[in-house]
Amino acid sequence: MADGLALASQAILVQGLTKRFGPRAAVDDISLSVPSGSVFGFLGPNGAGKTTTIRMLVGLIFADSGELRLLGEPMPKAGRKVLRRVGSMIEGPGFVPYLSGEDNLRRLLSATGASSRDQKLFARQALDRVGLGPAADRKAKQYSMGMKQRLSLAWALALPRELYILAEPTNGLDPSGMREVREVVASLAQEGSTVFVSSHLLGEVEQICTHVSFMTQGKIVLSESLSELRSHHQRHLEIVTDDGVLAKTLLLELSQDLSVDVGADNVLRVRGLDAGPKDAVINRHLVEGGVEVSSFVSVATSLEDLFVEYVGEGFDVR
Amino acid sequence: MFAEELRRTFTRPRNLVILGLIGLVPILLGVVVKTLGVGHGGGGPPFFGQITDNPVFLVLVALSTMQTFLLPLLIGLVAGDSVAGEASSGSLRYLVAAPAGRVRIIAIKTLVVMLFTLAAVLTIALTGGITGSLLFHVGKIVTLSGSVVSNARGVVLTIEAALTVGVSMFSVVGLGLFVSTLTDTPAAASAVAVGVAIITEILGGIPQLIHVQPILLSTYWSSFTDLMRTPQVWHGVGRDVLESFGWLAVTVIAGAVNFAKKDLLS
Repeated sequence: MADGLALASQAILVQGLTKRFGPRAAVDDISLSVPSGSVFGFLGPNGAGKTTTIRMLVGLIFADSGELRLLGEPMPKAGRKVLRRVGSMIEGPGFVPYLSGEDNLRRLLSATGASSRDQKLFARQALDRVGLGPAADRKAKQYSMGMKQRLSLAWALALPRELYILAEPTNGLDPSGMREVREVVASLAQEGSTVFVSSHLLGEVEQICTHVSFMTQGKIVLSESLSELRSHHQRHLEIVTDDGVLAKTLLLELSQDLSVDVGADNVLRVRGLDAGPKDAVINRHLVEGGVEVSSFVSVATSLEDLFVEYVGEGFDVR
Repeated sequence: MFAEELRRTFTRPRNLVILGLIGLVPILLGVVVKTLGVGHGGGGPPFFGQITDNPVFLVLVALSTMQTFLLPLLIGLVAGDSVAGEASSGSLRYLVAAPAGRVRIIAIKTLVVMLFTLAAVLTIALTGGITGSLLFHVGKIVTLSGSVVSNARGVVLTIEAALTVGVSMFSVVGLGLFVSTLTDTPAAASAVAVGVAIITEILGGIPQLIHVQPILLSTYWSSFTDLMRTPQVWHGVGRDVLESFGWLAVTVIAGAVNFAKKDLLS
């Protein structure tokens, strides 16, 4: 058991993975390491290559080069064996429209080799877990977008697995559905499973993840634990005053470590706080210098700020 | 997974409509002949003149009229839809990631469509037999060789003929499956499968192509009529079966190889 754990200390290990579609590299020589037991947020703008990466992880697309291991097993070679230990939700729902929700799950369960009795049991349990119990007998084509999304989630959860790969699990869900997904992810992590979740909803990820990775234009530009990330991306102050220019002069006079941006409406963003003076000192200095401070807030760096910093704000989709 | 796939195929509303349509043709034929008579002059498909003699002949007429177009069309539809249909609904990626095994998916789907084909031809035998015995009398069965066989023997002959026609459709099954792995559009896959089947029928009618004919899908399709001789002539039927299974093997292997290496982007 200990050996098995050691082998699988990385739930997902990717090295030098590349996938081209024609001349364009959708995934360009990426490496990624997802520790067992982590909740790993995989972020990036549309067209970044997240989906292509995930499809390679679960053996739907074949890489042009590079190495890929799931739970210590090589993919796609060991796919039949290792994918049984992986629950996946791949980029939106895909179900047989004329089968009921329950029959769709049973069909997939039967493909994994579950007995007829287990199929019924697991399908029912999973549908109840995502709140689809009452709609179990309705045909999948009658489901709303949100219900289909829940059905995909139900499939990912239908069997106890060591790794869950969830692509955009909150797409199309209402706020309570999103919250339920967060709770489900938290409970999976609590049971000791690894959860790899791709999303473009940064707020979502920030709330549930232990690790994050940013991907853009086929490359991974950042991959770290959230606590590490926070430790070297400090908070900043947002100060609203009546005279931004004067405030800036005062602050720079107070300490060389501070950097100050004056935004619209005299909002100052003050960085470099770790080496600089205490917040209270800054505030006193401004007030004594004759600046009226109407608001003084310490802001933690959000994932969104980091995302923009690493990925940029562009809307170009390749 | 096989049992699940089989159950799904035989409970799918569209497939039941197809079986219903197929079963309706012998009934229509029977009603038309009952109402309007056989007519004189000896035209029409083989055995048409004997259609009122015995239900066996109604089944044989139905088989030979449907074999050239309706059966390839409907079987091509089902086979062409088998993989591409799932690709278009997105369920294929979940099945592959389940994991169901790519080659296993192709093998199971092939087997299920083959069984569906046999069910289709047996439906013709069943509704034809019932319609014939209700509308016409159950009289003498005179074979092509002129001898008379018993009714029990007639039932066996009907089933033999139906199964032969069913097996002759396996080439269309394989073709449909192969094309189905090439596209995410089920209608396109079905159309290509049916189109190719029909093109081979047209090519089969061109005398200059005599050397190509042995490998054309449709060359031996009508050989099942040889079963109605005494003693039965198995030469053509044997060729028919061999040719059909040959196409099935080649196309399904090609489909499996293609599918095993294919990037699933749907």
